[in-house]
Amino acid sequence: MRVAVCCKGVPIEPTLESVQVVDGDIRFKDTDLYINEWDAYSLEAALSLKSSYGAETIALTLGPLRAQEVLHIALAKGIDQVLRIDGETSRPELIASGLIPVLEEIKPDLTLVGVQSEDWMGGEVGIYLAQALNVGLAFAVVEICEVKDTNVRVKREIGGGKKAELVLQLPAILCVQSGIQPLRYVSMMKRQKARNIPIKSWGKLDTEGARQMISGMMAYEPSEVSPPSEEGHAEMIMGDRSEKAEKLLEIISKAI
Amino acid sequence: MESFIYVEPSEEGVEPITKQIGSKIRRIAAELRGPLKGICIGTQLEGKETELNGFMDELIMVEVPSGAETNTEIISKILVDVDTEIISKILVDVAGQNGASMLFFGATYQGMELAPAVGWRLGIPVITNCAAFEWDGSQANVQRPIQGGQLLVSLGVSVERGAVITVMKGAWQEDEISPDEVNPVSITRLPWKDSWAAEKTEVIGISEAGLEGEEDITKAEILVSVGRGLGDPENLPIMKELAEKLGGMLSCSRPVVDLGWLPAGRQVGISGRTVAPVIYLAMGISGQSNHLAGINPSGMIIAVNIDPRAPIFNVADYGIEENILEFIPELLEVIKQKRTS
Repeated sequence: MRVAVCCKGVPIEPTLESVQVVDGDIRFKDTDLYINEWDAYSLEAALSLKSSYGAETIALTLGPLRAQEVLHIALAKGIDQVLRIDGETSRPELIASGLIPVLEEIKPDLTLVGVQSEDWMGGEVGIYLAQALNVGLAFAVVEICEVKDTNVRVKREIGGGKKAELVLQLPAILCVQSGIQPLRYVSMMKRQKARNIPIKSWGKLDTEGARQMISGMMAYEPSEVSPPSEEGHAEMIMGDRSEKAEKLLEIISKAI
Repeated sequence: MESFIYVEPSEEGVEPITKQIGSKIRRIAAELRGPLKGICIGTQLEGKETELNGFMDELIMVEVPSGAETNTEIISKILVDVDTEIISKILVDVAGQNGASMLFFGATYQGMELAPAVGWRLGIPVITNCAAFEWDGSQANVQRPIQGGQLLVSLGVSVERGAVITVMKGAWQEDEISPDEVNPVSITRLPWKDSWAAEKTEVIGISEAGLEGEEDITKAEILVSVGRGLGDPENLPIMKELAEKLGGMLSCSRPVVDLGWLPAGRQVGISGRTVAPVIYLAMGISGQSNHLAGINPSGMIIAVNIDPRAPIFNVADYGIEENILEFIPELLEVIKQKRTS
């Protein structure tokens, strides 16, 4: 069984100044990238499949050179192979377009994608991949129960504290929810060792080609990034700690 | 142009998000949006259609057969309610029939999954988690959060060929409409097509996390809710003590459950419970949109967080910039003093 896991490098605490709208896209300048939290859980799920089923594991990322850190973490944790598609975009349909040819070539039985990313917060990429590759999809997967030759049985959240159990034909895409496996700490020494392993480059994201292929989906343009409006912001309770506690208690007493 | 709202199944009837979307879109000029139609799968709204009067012009009820009537294995109605492979096929079929369509979904689990699937197949833009939305001619101007809600991005969306939009719960206000004072929603029943049957996925069961001796947080008047700011499960006792002293219950955000510090039955948010306490005390919770979706009906939200940029402060009524681990002992002390004086 071959398992691909898509990992996104997301910016560490970007400020308004570090986020720019460039050529109809959002870019983060001067920020280091770390692994998207939901993708970190996907990595753990892939490694669990490696230990339970002997799966061959491949981690891929689409990002600039500094996104390699994400793949170093994957290698340090025990992923077998890694590769990077060179490109920089926040647009989920472009990210999917970059991943599709790679997945078509490496033909994984299961592709794991975090349910959403910390930066864009949309959750579209895994779903786009399932549509483009015409394979089954399970969203918000919290347990991979059993993998057989032709299918996989999973549990997914459906909201409101409920879960659905699904059987999907392979190949399939699983959008992994946080908490599927505990996140394991990887030591600096292991990470440093992984940094010495060269990262295979897949080539460049064909932005123009993708723009033509999915022009209808790309009919939107970011124009501005701004902080949330002050309107509706909480009334901040000021004073020293004791005064704040007094005022809070007074507000609660009046409301009840 | 036609505009569609996906009417999500709910045991209680019509989900508030459906009415919130209907309220916003019905005010857009009819020559722009075209007829406003709801689509619901199955008969969950049978007898409750009047609740949608004024929020849309037409409700398309897709008839879902049980077992033997389909060419697939047994498909019970409740499984179809959550089988997004089936639902996305139906939506693509219906919305793709008469040219350009605008499709609106709540930013719920179903909406998060259905919207990109439908948009990809129809080849139209998909904009998720919309807060602000203005439709002017061939363009819609949208704002959505990025970076955990700390920033907003403004987007210009060309809607000439249609678009798919998911709407954050509570971002749009629901109009107060008396069902008797407006034209009744017209009902169209759409018969089942075998081509909609699932081919790649099969839903084999649904389960709900039991309370397992835990309190039912949806019944609380006061919720003391803890997030990542808790830092360590060893700090849970002071949170429990605060909840007890205030006569409330303890709840939490998703990371606290993921880390195994509290059981899933105490989780608030899109994947947990939606709560409506008189007071919701968000302690060390940053306020990601998935969490905010579950606290929207709360009477008053009070947030305590060490990070002044935390998005929770954008929705809270009152805010306190403090480390909860230093602030709560102080608050407990003040409560103690009040009780003894």
